[in-house]
Amino acid sequence: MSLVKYWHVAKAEFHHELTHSSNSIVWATILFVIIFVFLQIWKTVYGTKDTIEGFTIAQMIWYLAIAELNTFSNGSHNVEDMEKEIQSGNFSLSLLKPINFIAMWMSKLFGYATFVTLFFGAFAVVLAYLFVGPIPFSFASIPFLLVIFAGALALNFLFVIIYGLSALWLEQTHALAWIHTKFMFILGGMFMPFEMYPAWIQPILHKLPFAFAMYGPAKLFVHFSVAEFFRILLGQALWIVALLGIALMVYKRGVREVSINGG
Amino acid sequence: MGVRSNFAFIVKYFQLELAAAMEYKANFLIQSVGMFFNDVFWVFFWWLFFQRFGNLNGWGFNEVAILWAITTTSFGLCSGFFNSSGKIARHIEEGKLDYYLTLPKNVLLHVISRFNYPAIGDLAFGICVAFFFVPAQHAWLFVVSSLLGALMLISFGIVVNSLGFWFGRFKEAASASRDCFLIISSYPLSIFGGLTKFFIIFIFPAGMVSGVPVALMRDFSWVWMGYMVGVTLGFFLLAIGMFYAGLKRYESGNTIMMRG
Repeated sequence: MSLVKYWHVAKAEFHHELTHSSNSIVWATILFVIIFVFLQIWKTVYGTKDTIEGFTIAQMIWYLAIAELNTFSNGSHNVEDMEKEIQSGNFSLSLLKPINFIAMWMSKLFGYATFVTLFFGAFAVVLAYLFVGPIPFSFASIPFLLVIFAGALALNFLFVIIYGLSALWLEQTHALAWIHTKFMFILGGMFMPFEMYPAWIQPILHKLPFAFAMYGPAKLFVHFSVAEFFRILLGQALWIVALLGIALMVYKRGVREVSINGG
Repeated sequence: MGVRSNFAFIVKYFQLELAAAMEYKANFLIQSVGMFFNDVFWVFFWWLFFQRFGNLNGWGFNEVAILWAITTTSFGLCSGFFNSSGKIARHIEEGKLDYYLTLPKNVLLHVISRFNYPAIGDLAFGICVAFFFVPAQHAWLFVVSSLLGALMLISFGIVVNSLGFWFGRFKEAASASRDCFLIISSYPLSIFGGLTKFFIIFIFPAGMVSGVPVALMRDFSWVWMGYMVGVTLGFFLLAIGMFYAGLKRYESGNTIMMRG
C-alpha cells in the first residue's frame, strides 16, 4: 500500500487551510480572549503567592496556551464534515476508491493540525510571552515534545473518526463532539493542570485517555523530565492501540450498515 | 404588521419547526440531552475549582452556578428560538436574504426566527440549576434577567452580523465576536476590574447578560437594574437600526434555492 497518496491528502488539506487562513484570525481572537480571561482568574487565585502546586502564574499561563493550542488542532469540527460525507452518500462512494477511509481522514486531520500548530503555535507563544514573559525552557526538549504532541494528535484524531463514523447510526453527531470537547476541557485538564484538582479525583484523571491528549503534553512543556516523557509515551501508545481498535470495529460495522441501506 | 400579528407569526413558525424536529424524535432527544450534559460539565468544572480555591474575589460556587443558570437560560431562549440572529452575516455573504425580502412579513423577525433544538437542552439546564440555586425571593430577578439576557444576546448577534452589510465577508468575525461575548458572559464578573470591567459591562456588554444579575442578587440596586434594562434596550434599538440601515445596501446574490 503506497503511503504517497496519504501524504498528498495531508498536503492538500494544509493548502486548503492556508487558502482559507482568514478563519484563523477569528480563532486567534478567541484564543486571545480565553487566555486573557484565565489570566484574570489566576491573578485572583495567586494573589501574593509565588507558586501553587509547583506552578508559577507564568507556568500556568504557558500551560494554558499549550493546552489551547492542542484543543485548536484536535480537528473536532471535522466530526461534522464526516457526518456530511456520510449523509450525502459520499461515504459509500469512498468505499470504491483505493484508499483506506480511516487513513485518509487521519492524513486530512494531520494536514489541518500542521497548519494550526504552525499558525497558532506561534500566536500562542507570542501571547503567553506578552502576558507573563518567558519560563525556564530547554530547547533540547523540543524533539521529545514533538513526539508527545504527535501522539496527542493521533489520540484526538481517533476520537474524531469514531464520533464521525457514528453518523452511520445517528442523524447528527454534534452532541458527541460537544461532550468530547468538554471531556477534554475538564477531564483532560485543559483549563488547569491535574495538580489543581481535588486529591480524590487526580488518580482517576491520570488514567483516562484525555490525560495523554491534553494534560500530558502541556505539563511536559512547562515541567519537562525524561521519566515523564516515557510515562506519557507509554500511555499514549496504549490508548492509541485501544482507540484504533474501536475505530476499525465501528468502521467495519458501519460499512455493513451502508450495504444494508444501499448507501 | 402589529405586535399581535408578529407574535402569531412566531408561534406558527415554531409550531412548524417543532413538528419538523419531532419527525426525528431520537435525534431531538440526543441533541438536547447532549447540550444539557455539555453544561453539566462546565458547572462540574467550577465545582472542582471552588473545592480547591474557595472563592474568586467573594464569588463562590453558588454565584457561578446562578451565573450559569442565567447564561444558559438566556442562550437557550436566544439560540433555541432565534438561532439565525447569529447567521445574518452568512446570509448576506451568500446573498440569501432575497427569500425574506419577497415575503410580506417583518424581515428582521423572519430572518432571525429559527428553531435550534440542541439549545433547548441549555434552556432546560438553566431552569434546573436556577431551581436549586436561585433563592425564592430572587426568582423574579432570574426570570427578568434571563429574558433581558436573551434579548441582549439576540441584539448583539444582530449588531455584529449586520456589519456584514458594510464589510461583505464578515461571517467568521461575527461568529468570533459572538463566541467571545458568550465566553466572557460565562465567567465570574469578580475577576475583572477597572477599565476592563467597564468595557465588558457597557461597551461589549457580555457582563450585563449574567454577571450584573448575579451581583444584583447579592446586593440589589435599582440603579444597576436601570443600567441593565437601559443598556439592553439600547442594544436592541441599535440592532434594529443597524439591520435596516444595512439592508438598504444589500445586493442580491441571484441565488436560486429550493426551500423545504
